[in-house]
Amino acid sequence: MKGKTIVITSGKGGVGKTTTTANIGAGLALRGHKVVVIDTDIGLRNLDVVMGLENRIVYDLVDAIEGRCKLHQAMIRDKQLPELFLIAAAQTRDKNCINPEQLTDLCRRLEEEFDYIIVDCPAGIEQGFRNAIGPAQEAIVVTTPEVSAIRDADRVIGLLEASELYRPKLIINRVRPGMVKRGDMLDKDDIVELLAVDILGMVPADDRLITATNQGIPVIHDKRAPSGMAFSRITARIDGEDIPLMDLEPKTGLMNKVRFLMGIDRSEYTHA
Amino acid sequence: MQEADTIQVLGRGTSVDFTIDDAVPFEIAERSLREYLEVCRGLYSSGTVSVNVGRRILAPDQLSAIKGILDSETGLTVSSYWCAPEILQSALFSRPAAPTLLPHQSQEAVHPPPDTETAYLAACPEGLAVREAAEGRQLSFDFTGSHPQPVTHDVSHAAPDLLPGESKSVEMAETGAGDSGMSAEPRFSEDGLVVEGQTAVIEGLPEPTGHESVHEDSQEYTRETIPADSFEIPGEVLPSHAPYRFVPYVENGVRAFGEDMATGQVVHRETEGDAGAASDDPEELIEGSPREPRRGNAALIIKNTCRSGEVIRYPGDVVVFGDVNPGAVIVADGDIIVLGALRGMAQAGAGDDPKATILALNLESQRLQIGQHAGEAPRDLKRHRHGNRNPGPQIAYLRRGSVFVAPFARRLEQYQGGILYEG
Repeated sequence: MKGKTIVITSGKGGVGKTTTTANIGAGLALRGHKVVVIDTDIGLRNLDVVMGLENRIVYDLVDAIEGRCKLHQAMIRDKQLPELFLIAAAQTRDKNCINPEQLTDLCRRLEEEFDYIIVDCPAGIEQGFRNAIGPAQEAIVVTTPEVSAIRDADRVIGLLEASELYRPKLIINRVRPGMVKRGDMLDKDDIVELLAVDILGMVPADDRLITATNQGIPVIHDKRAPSGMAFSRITARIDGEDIPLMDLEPKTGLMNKVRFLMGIDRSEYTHA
Repeated sequence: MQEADTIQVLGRGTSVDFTIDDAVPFEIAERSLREYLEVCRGLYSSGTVSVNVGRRILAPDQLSAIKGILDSETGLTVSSYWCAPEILQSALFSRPAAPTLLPHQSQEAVHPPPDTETAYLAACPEGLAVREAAEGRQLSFDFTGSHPQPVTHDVSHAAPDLLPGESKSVEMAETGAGDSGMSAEPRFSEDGLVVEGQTAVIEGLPEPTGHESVHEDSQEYTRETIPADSFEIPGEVLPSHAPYRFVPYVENGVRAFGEDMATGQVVHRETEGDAGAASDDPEELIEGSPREPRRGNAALIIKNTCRSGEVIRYPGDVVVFGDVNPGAVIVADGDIIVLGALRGMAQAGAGDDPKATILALNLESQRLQIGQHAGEAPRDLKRHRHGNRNPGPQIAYLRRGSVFVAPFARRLEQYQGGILYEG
């Protein structure tokens, strides 16, 4: 079996790399693949929190790389999905304690066993970034429709291309269709035109996602959450399915307004 | 300038200057030329060159020695010799009989008459052409005929008339002031921009300059990538300030070119954050030269999007097949042409050339710089463009020290109007 290593990066912090990693990992596992997600944000780990696996960490990435444990001992099985594993980052070390070659070596070993290795990249373009993109065969760039995030994404795409990771895929996170419609938020086409890369999907801003993240359950398990549905479609595209990109439409109509005001459904939009 | 070295080779593409230091004895210059050509073998082949002998009056055996070296080491044909105008004039007017010495029907070019002081005039079968470009006019002495008639040419037509065959003069690049890249008749090939017609000039250099030797790695690189059977040199360009040194693609910190790497794109294209990691050489070569800006270099062609953080410094024209995104910086000594949207910072004519222009299919930069003059887009740019999001190709040019942006009409248009970008 020969797996594929995908790095999820953004440059800017706080755009949703870790959430995206957790959801893509869970989504691919839901589709029946053997998946391992690796948190390379050494010193600031949080993928384990997002996946709700915080309490199960015995060994971490640095232990595995430095040989204090066997590789499979550092892999933590997901609560819901038996085919999904996490390798957590060390919290007490920093990013300079590993190098890209070590991580590449680790991923090559994992590729023998798994279909997908998803690497969660830390923010920034320093050592942590270089470590994370080292083993990658493909890259996904996460951005939000804000000029600062797009500027950083542009820079990161440039650095990825310089590292021979050509044609990274783009995920636009936290899109607010209402604002886009009013012209207050950058539109998908503007972003894609500027960054000149293929778009993998758009994830709407969603209260359910925040709830799910806080509970340690990836939102992709929530069948009613618009963001979960968006991640499902994104994973299907990663898996090679040809699903057209959907435009997010703001919800209209009186009943939706009533539901919104009553707090039954706090999401602002449906999927057209 | 740097320590003395006898031979310097500057420029690629439209112009190659072989520069021999005036001060050193001829024997040393001869040896240096031979050594240089030995290491650079394969760079030049079939073609005609004009040799500028500089400020010294060479004896015929010295001329034939140079010709011999060039012939045997490169396969180039020496079509004519030039020398500095004042030297020629003193020789000419002190010696009215000079034209009769010209053996323009003789093929024995390498064995000219023994008069050492005037023999240099005769060394070339095609005769001697001396040109003095000044104030848009050009004074030319054409000695091919029997009567030395000073002829004035309009600059824009002068060069093709003067030189025989395919050779094109160095000054060519300077004639079409605002559009040197175009006037040099570029044509596209797989390897990028190739400018036809090469001129190699050996000229006297007022100050001794140069680097000691050819950079070993770079040399290997060049030999691999340049076809030996052609005098055409693909689109990669030696930074004009870098005496026979080629700035190779530097792995760390320099943006990869993808397929262009294979063709030997030689550029200084760095990613700013990693500047320290990049080779020190290109930086030093490009920064460290006080030479006047040269417009004769072949254009640098970038075949992908320039992204945030990329800095491109180039001593010539830059053409981008793609966008220049915000945060990217292009600094060119020549013109900048962007076949896409220009949103980053662009500086044309960085060597203080007020005639440089910036042309983009979609000019969206908030700040432009031409020569030393910067301009910032007006706040109500949209209103200036009548709400048109894409008003078509735009050209930025300099008028009375201010940057103006006008719709691009055609190449030789005298631009008058446009939106003022206040500096």
